[in-house]
Amino acid sequence: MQLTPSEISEQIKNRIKNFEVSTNASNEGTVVNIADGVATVHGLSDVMSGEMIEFPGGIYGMALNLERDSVGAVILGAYEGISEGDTVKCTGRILEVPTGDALLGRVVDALGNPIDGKGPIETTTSSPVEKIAPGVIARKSVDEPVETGLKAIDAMVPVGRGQRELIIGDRQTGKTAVAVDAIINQKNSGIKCVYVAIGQKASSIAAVVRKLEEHGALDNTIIVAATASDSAAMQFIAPYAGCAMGEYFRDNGEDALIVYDDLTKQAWAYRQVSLLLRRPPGREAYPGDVFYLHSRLLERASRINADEVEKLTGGRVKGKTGSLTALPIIETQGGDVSAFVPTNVISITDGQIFLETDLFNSGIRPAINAGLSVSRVGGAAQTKIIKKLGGGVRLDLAQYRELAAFAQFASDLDETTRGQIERGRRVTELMKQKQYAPLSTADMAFSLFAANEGFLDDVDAAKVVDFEEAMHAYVKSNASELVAEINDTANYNDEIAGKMKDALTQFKANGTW
Amino acid sequence: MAEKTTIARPYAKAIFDLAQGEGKLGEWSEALQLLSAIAADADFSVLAGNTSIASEKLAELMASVAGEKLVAGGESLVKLLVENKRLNVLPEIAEMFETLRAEAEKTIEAEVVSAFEVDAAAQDKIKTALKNRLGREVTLTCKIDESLMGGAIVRAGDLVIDGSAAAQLKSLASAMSR
Repeated sequence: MQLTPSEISEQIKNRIKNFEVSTNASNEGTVVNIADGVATVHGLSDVMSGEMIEFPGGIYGMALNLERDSVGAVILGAYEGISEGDTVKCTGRILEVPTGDALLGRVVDALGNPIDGKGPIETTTSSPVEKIAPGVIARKSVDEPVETGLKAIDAMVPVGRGQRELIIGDRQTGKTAVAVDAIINQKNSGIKCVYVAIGQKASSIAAVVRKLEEHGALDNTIIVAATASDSAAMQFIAPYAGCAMGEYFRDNGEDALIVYDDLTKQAWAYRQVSLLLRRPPGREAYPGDVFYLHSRLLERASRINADEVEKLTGGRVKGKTGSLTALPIIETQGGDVSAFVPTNVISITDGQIFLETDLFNSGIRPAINAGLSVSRVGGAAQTKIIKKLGGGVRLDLAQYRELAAFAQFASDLDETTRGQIERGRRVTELMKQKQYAPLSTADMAFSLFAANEGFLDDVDAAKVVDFEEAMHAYVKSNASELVAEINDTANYNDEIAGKMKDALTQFKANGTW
Repeated sequence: MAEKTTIARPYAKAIFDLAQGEGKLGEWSEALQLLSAIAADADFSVLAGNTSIASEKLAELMASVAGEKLVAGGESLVKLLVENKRLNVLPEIAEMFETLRAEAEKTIEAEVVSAFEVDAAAQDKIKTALKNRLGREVTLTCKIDESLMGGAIVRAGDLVIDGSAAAQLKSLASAMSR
């Protein structure tokens, strides 16, 4: 847009006219010591814990340690320009970030500033980053699903709206891929998503943004990025900032999904900040409150009842519940889930999706270990049809795991055992799924139905993936009414089972794969 | 700095309690100012750093320099500080003593930095306004800084009230560039 000189002067005039001349009283202090992004400030007698404080040059910090003679603060941003003796001002505000619908489709830093070059974000609402989670009275139990579009998860470790489901695994096991697939599947579900990237390479974050854009899921997603080059303080507050943005949707009677990728790096950043603030180190040099660090964050992911939504919106939204579902990610070292941070987060969350390197390398992707992965509350939220059909798959895999060791003596085994091994092998194949290809409820139901009813038993194990693909294409064109019905109602009864059986029998008679 | 204040705090508190009990806050305040000035003196700090000088001699020397102005009990304080090798925290002790005294007497020192000279009437106005706000007796010191262009900055403890033209221009600049 080109501006003429007269328009420019008009704009300047407006700005000057609207500028309010005011004297401001503030509480000031001086920087005594500054190193590694942590400043010791003398003065600031009125500062609050967690308050934003202003350094010269428009750089902000957060007061964390309030001691008798000094205040320990972390600097949010570049701290090269700050020197000893600089004046620091209290702002009187607890650290807060902008919230609202305008953030959707944007990439912001941990303070909510846009970093995607798409111009300023027009929001009127903001929210403190640290907030107390909804209480007992405000809550409602989880009974609606978040469909991730991944067979293995929706059938075996279902996630409900308001649940906290941990994704845990070593590096390179597809943790981010699972989370991104879950976000992509929310494109038309009405669930708003927040993806918080902590301590990742900027290139990885750019790749995620591009993938979401490609699959049309960026428009209902907020990306909060604290890259590896951002200060430890930014990496430490990024999850809280993202959570505040997600809570906005929850408190307005909508559903939201937040991914923290990953909380291990946040714990590292917090450890760094804590040690620099001279807080005493504990196990693995983490400070004493590293459990609370994650528990207070994950408690904020919750489902709240309609009364609470009405109260929070001042009666603007009635009769709608709100939810914030969290998918925290934890990276383990060499599969060690008994390290400090993984055990903490496992105990906080409502279940975990356990990803394994061996499975990943043997081509089972997503590399979900069906035995160790659990969902403690998701079962109540599953759609009827997936719940009915998914149970069989879980059982088949459990039996297969027990017998897999004997698989090489297959010829010496009795008929039933051999049957179970063969079935397990096919179900394992069936649970494989390509990245960025989430399945609809109907497609998933047909896949699970085929496994349960033995339609796969005479299909070569290596051909299962092809079989499934052909089956989905076939039912889409030849049983479109049934597919639409399942997608709409997700109901399951004898009539639907009969129709599905007919469709699959026809496919096996006529289809090719 | 934080460590020094930590060391100075018990000394200052003890001196203050003693002085308040005896009703000699003013005398002690003067004595502490004097002693910290002596301790900060370059020649004296050379002597203080010299290990071959016995601590009694050093204490004697300090007391004799202070001479008549040293309040009763001041000599003991000097001895104690020399013995504990804490002469270097004397300025902090003096400063903290003043803070404690100001708090007890409900007074506060305020500094007014302005672009032009502030006349007596205006000073009185500032004084009463500050008194209303802080609930303390205010002693004003005035300074002139032409770079402010207009208005004034009032500092009282950690509280800073910035009504200078320079600050307003600065915030206008940041409002324009937003």
